[in-house]
Amino acid sequence: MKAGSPTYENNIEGQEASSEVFRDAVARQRNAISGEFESLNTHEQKSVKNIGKWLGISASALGLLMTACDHPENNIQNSGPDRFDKASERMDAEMEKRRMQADEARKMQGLPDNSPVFYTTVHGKVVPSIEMKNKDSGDASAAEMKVNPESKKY
Amino acid sequence: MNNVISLKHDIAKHLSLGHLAKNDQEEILHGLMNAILERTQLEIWKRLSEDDRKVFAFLTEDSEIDEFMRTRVPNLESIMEMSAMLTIKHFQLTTLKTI
Repeated sequence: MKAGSPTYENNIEGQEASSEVFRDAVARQRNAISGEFESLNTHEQKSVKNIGKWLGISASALGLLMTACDHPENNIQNSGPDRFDKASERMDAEMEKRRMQADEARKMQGLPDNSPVFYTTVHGKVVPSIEMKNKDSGDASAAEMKVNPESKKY
Repeated sequence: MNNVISLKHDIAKHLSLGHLAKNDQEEILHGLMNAILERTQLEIWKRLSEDDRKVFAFLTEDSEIDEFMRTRVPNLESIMEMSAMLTIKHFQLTTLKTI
Protein backbone atom coordinates (compact mmCIF):
# COMPACT_ATOMS: atom_id res chain seq x y z
CA MET A 1 0.00 0.00 0.00
CA LYS A 2 1.45 3.38 -1.04
CA ALA A 3 1.95 6.14 1.51
CA GLY A 4 -1.06 8.42 1.63
CA SER A 5 -3.32 5.97 -0.16
CA PRO A 6 -6.60 4.94 1.44
CA THR A 7 -6.48 1.98 3.79
CA TYR A 8 -9.14 0.42 5.93
CA GLU A 9 -7.73 2.29 8.93
CA ASN A 10 -8.66 5.64 7.42
CA ASN A 11 -11.85 4.47 5.75
CA ILE A 12 -14.19 7.11 7.09
CA GLU A 13 -17.65 6.19 8.34
CA GLY A 14 -20.31 6.94 5.78
CA GLN A 15 -17.86 7.15 2.86
CA GLU A 16 -17.76 4.56 0.11
CA ALA A 17 -14.48 2.65 0.21
CA SER A 18 -12.21 2.77 -2.82
CA SER A 19 -11.22 -0.28 -4.87
CA GLU A 20 -7.79 -0.07 -3.25
CA VAL A 21 -9.33 -0.56 0.20
CA PHE A 22 -11.15 -3.67 -1.03
CA ARG A 23 -8.05 -5.03 -2.77
CA ASP A 24 -6.08 -4.49 0.41
CA ALA A 25 -8.71 -6.42 2.41
CA VAL A 26 -8.53 -9.35 -0.04
CA ALA A 27 -4.71 -9.32 0.03
CA ARG A 28 -4.65 -9.35 3.84
CA GLN A 29 -6.88 -12.41 3.93
CA ARG A 30 -4.92 -14.30 1.31
CA ASN A 31 -1.65 -13.46 3.09
CA ALA A 32 -3.08 -14.78 6.35
CA ILE A 33 -4.18 -18.02 4.63
CA SER A 34 -0.76 -18.39 2.94
CA GLY A 35 0.92 -17.93 6.33
CA GLU A 36 -1.21 -20.71 7.78
CA PHE A 37 -0.36 -22.98 4.84
CA GLU A 38 3.38 -22.22 5.07
CA SER A 39 3.35 -23.18 8.75
CA LEU A 40 2.49 -26.78 7.80
CA ASN A 41 5.19 -29.35 7.03
CA THR A 42 5.78 -30.60 3.47
CA HIS A 43 3.66 -33.72 3.97
CA GLU A 44 0.77 -31.71 5.35
CA GLN A 45 1.04 -29.16 2.56
CA LYS A 46 0.76 -32.00 0.05
CA SER A 47 -2.52 -33.11 1.61
CA VAL A 48 -3.87 -29.56 1.50
CA LYS A 49 -2.83 -29.25 -2.16
CA ASN A 50 -4.65 -32.50 -2.94
CA ILE A 51 -7.77 -31.05 -1.34
CA GLY A 52 -7.38 -28.02 -3.62
CA LYS A 53 -7.06 -30.35 -6.58
CA TRP A 54 -10.25 -32.09 -5.53
CA LEU A 55 -12.12 -28.79 -5.17
CA GLY A 56 -10.86 -27.91 -8.63
CA ILE A 57 -12.09 -31.15 -10.20
CA SER A 58 -15.39 -31.14 -8.34
CA ALA A 59 -17.89 -29.83 -10.88
CA SER A 60 -20.24 -28.69 -8.16
CA ALA A 61 -17.64 -26.71 -6.18
CA LEU A 62 -18.37 -23.43 -7.94
CA GLY A 63 -22.10 -23.90 -7.48
CA LEU A 64 -21.61 -24.63 -3.78
CA LEU A 65 -19.39 -21.59 -3.43
CA MET A 66 -21.95 -19.34 -5.07
CA THR A 67 -24.65 -20.79 -2.81
CA ALA A 68 -22.45 -20.25 0.23
CA CYS A 69 -21.70 -16.64 -0.75
CA ASP A 70 -25.39 -16.02 -1.26
CA HIS A 71 -26.40 -17.51 2.10
CA PRO A 72 -28.49 -14.86 3.89
CA GLU A 73 -26.76 -15.55 7.19
CA ASN A 74 -23.45 -14.53 5.60
CA ASN A 75 -24.83 -11.00 5.66
CA ILE A 76 -23.16 -9.53 8.71
CA GLN A 77 -26.21 -7.39 9.36
CA ASN A 78 -28.40 -10.50 9.71
CA SER A 79 -26.01 -12.61 11.75
CA GLY A 80 -25.59 -12.61 15.48
CA PRO A 81 -22.31 -12.98 17.38
CA ASP A 82 -22.97 -16.71 17.87
CA ARG A 83 -23.28 -17.35 14.12
CA PHE A 84 -19.79 -18.85 13.91
CA ASP A 85 -20.41 -21.04 16.98
CA LYS A 86 -23.65 -22.34 15.46
CA ALA A 87 -21.93 -23.17 12.16
CA SER A 88 -19.12 -24.93 14.03
CA GLU A 89 -21.57 -26.90 16.16
CA ARG A 90 -23.49 -28.03 13.08
CA MET A 91 -20.29 -29.05 11.36
CA ASP A 92 -18.97 -30.90 14.40
CA ALA A 93 -22.29 -32.79 14.61
CA GLU A 94 -22.01 -33.74 10.94
CA MET A 95 -18.41 -34.88 11.37
CA GLU A 96 -19.42 -37.00 14.36
CA LYS A 97 -22.18 -38.57 12.26
CA ARG A 98 -19.62 -39.25 9.51
CA ARG A 99 -17.25 -40.93 11.99
CA MET A 100 -20.07 -43.16 13.21
CA GLN A 101 -20.98 -44.05 9.62
CA ALA A 102 -17.32 -44.88 8.87
CA ASP A 103 -17.16 -47.10 11.97
CA GLU A 104 -20.32 -48.90 10.83
CA ALA A 105 -18.87 -49.35 7.33
CA ARG A 106 -15.64 -50.78 8.83
CA LYS A 107 -17.65 -53.26 10.88
CA MET A 108 -19.65 -54.29 7.80
CA GLN A 109 -16.43 -54.83 5.84
CA GLY A 110 -14.54 -56.45 8.74
CA LEU A 111 -11.86 -53.75 8.74
CA PRO A 112 -9.82 -52.77 11.81
CA ASP A 113 -10.57 -49.55 13.71
CA ASN A 114 -9.34 -46.32 12.09
CA SER A 115 -8.42 -48.01 8.81
CA PRO A 116 -9.37 -46.17 5.59
CA VAL A 117 -12.81 -47.25 4.39
CA PHE A 118 -14.95 -46.40 1.39
CA TYR A 119 -18.69 -46.26 1.76
CA THR A 120 -21.73 -44.29 0.72
CA THR A 121 -25.20 -43.78 2.14
CA VAL A 122 -28.64 -44.45 0.73
CA HIS A 123 -31.49 -42.80 2.64
CA GLY A 124 -29.05 -42.36 5.53
CA LYS A 125 -28.16 -46.07 5.60
CA VAL A 126 -24.48 -46.98 5.25
CA VAL A 127 -23.69 -49.03 2.16
CA PRO A 128 -20.10 -50.14 1.40
CA SER A 129 -18.98 -48.70 -1.95
CA ILE A 130 -18.11 -52.20 -3.17
CA GLU A 131 -21.78 -53.23 -2.90
CA MET A 132 -22.87 -50.17 -4.79
CA LYS A 133 -20.36 -50.94 -7.51
CA ASN A 134 -21.65 -54.51 -7.83
CA LYS A 135 -25.15 -53.15 -8.14
CA ASP A 136 -24.41 -50.67 -10.85
CA SER A 137 -21.28 -51.55 -12.80
CA GLY A 138 -18.75 -49.35 -11.17
CA ASP A 139 -20.23 -45.94 -10.44
CA ALA A 140 -21.23 -45.57 -6.79
CA SER A 141 -22.53 -42.01 -7.13
CA ALA A 142 -24.67 -42.92 -10.13
CA ALA A 143 -26.10 -45.88 -8.21
CA GLU A 144 -26.94 -43.63 -5.29
CA MET A 145 -28.68 -41.15 -7.57
CA LYS A 146 -30.75 -43.95 -9.08
CA VAL A 147 -31.92 -45.06 -5.66
CA ASN A 148 -32.60 -41.57 -4.40
CA PRO A 149 -32.67 -38.90 -7.11
CA GLU A 150 -33.50 -36.22 -4.52
CA SER A 151 -30.35 -36.85 -2.48
CA LYS A 152 -27.41 -34.47 -2.62
CA LYS A 153 -24.07 -35.65 -3.95
CA TYR A 154 -22.22 -34.71 -0.78
CA MET B 1 -24.49 -18.40 -17.06
CA ASN B 2 -26.90 -15.48 -16.69
CA ASN B 3 -27.76 -16.73 -13.21
CA VAL B 4 -24.08 -16.69 -12.25
CA ILE B 5 -23.67 -13.14 -13.56
CA SER B 6 -26.81 -12.06 -11.74
CA LEU B 7 -25.63 -13.75 -8.53
CA LYS B 8 -22.21 -12.12 -8.80
CA HIS B 9 -23.95 -8.77 -9.22
CA ASP B 10 -25.99 -9.46 -6.07
CA ILE B 11 -22.86 -10.40 -4.12
CA ALA B 12 -21.06 -7.26 -5.32
CA LYS B 13 -24.01 -5.18 -4.16
CA HIS B 14 -24.16 -7.04 -0.88
CA LEU B 15 -20.46 -6.33 -0.29
CA SER B 16 -21.00 -2.65 -1.14
CA LEU B 17 -18.87 -2.88 -4.28
CA GLY B 18 -21.67 -1.44 -6.40
CA HIS B 19 -20.04 1.97 -6.81
CA LEU B 20 -16.81 0.48 -8.26
CA ALA B 21 -16.07 -0.06 -11.96
CA LYS B 22 -17.19 -3.47 -13.24
CA ASN B 23 -13.63 -4.69 -13.83
CA ASP B 24 -12.66 -3.67 -10.26
CA GLN B 25 -15.71 -5.54 -8.93
CA GLU B 26 -14.73 -8.62 -10.95
CA GLU B 27 -11.14 -8.54 -9.71
CA ILE B 28 -12.14 -8.13 -6.06
CA LEU B 29 -14.80 -10.85 -6.25
CA HIS B 30 -12.33 -13.17 -7.96
CA GLY B 31 -9.79 -12.59 -5.19
CA LEU B 32 -12.44 -13.07 -2.53
CA MET B 33 -13.65 -16.34 -4.03
CA ASN B 34 -10.09 -17.62 -4.23
CA ALA B 35 -9.66 -16.69 -0.57
CA ILE B 36 -12.83 -18.66 0.24
CA LEU B 37 -11.57 -21.70 -1.71
CA GLU B 38 -8.16 -21.51 0.01
CA ARG B 39 -9.81 -21.17 3.40
CA THR B 40 -12.07 -24.13 2.54
CA GLN B 41 -9.00 -26.26 1.71
CA LEU B 42 -7.48 -25.57 5.11
CA GLU B 43 -10.77 -26.08 6.96
CA ILE B 44 -11.30 -29.47 5.25
CA TRP B 45 -7.73 -30.51 6.06
CA LYS B 46 -8.18 -29.57 9.72
CA ARG B 47 -11.22 -31.86 9.87
CA LEU B 48 -9.54 -34.96 8.42
CA SER B 49 -8.25 -37.56 10.85
CA GLU B 50 -4.48 -38.03 11.21
CA ASP B 51 -4.72 -41.31 9.27
CA ASP B 52 -6.77 -39.76 6.48
CA ARG B 53 -4.25 -36.91 6.13
CA LYS B 54 -1.43 -39.44 5.70
CA VAL B 55 -3.31 -41.54 3.14
CA PHE B 56 -4.54 -38.49 1.27
CA ALA B 57 -1.03 -37.08 0.73
CA PHE B 58 -0.12 -40.15 -1.33
CA LEU B 59 -3.11 -40.16 -3.68
CA THR B 60 -2.29 -38.96 -7.17
CA GLU B 61 -5.11 -40.04 -9.49
CA ASP B 62 -8.04 -37.64 -9.81
CA SER B 63 -10.52 -40.52 -9.51
CA GLU B 64 -8.85 -41.77 -6.30
CA ILE B 65 -8.84 -38.29 -4.80
CA ASP B 66 -12.47 -37.73 -5.78
CA GLU B 67 -13.72 -41.01 -4.30
CA PHE B 68 -11.69 -40.54 -1.13
CA MET B 69 -12.93 -37.01 -0.57
CA ARG B 70 -16.56 -37.77 -1.35
CA THR B 71 -16.58 -40.39 1.40
CA ARG B 72 -14.60 -38.30 3.89
CA VAL B 73 -16.23 -34.92 3.32
CA PRO B 74 -19.96 -35.40 2.85
CA ASN B 75 -20.55 -31.95 4.31
CA LEU B 76 -18.57 -29.89 1.80
CA GLU B 77 -21.43 -27.42 1.50
CA SER B 78 -21.43 -26.54 5.19
CA ILE B 79 -17.62 -26.28 5.34
CA MET B 80 -17.72 -23.96 2.34
CA GLU B 81 -20.56 -22.03 3.89
CA MET B 82 -18.56 -21.51 7.06
CA SER B 83 -15.42 -20.58 5.10
CA ALA B 84 -17.43 -18.09 3.05
CA MET B 85 -18.96 -16.67 6.20
CA LEU B 86 -15.58 -16.23 7.87
CA THR B 87 -14.02 -14.70 4.76
CA ILE B 88 -16.91 -12.40 3.93
CA LYS B 89 -17.39 -11.28 7.52
CA HIS B 90 -13.70 -10.47 7.87
CA PHE B 91 -13.76 -8.71 4.51
CA GLN B 92 -16.71 -6.59 5.57
CA LEU B 93 -15.23 -5.78 8.95
CA THR B 94 -12.02 -4.53 7.35
CA THR B 95 -13.68 -2.47 4.64
CA LEU B 96 -16.85 -1.08 6.12
CA LYS B 97 -16.98 1.33 8.99
CA THR B 98 -20.62 2.13 8.42
CA ILE B 99 -22.01 -1.03 10.04
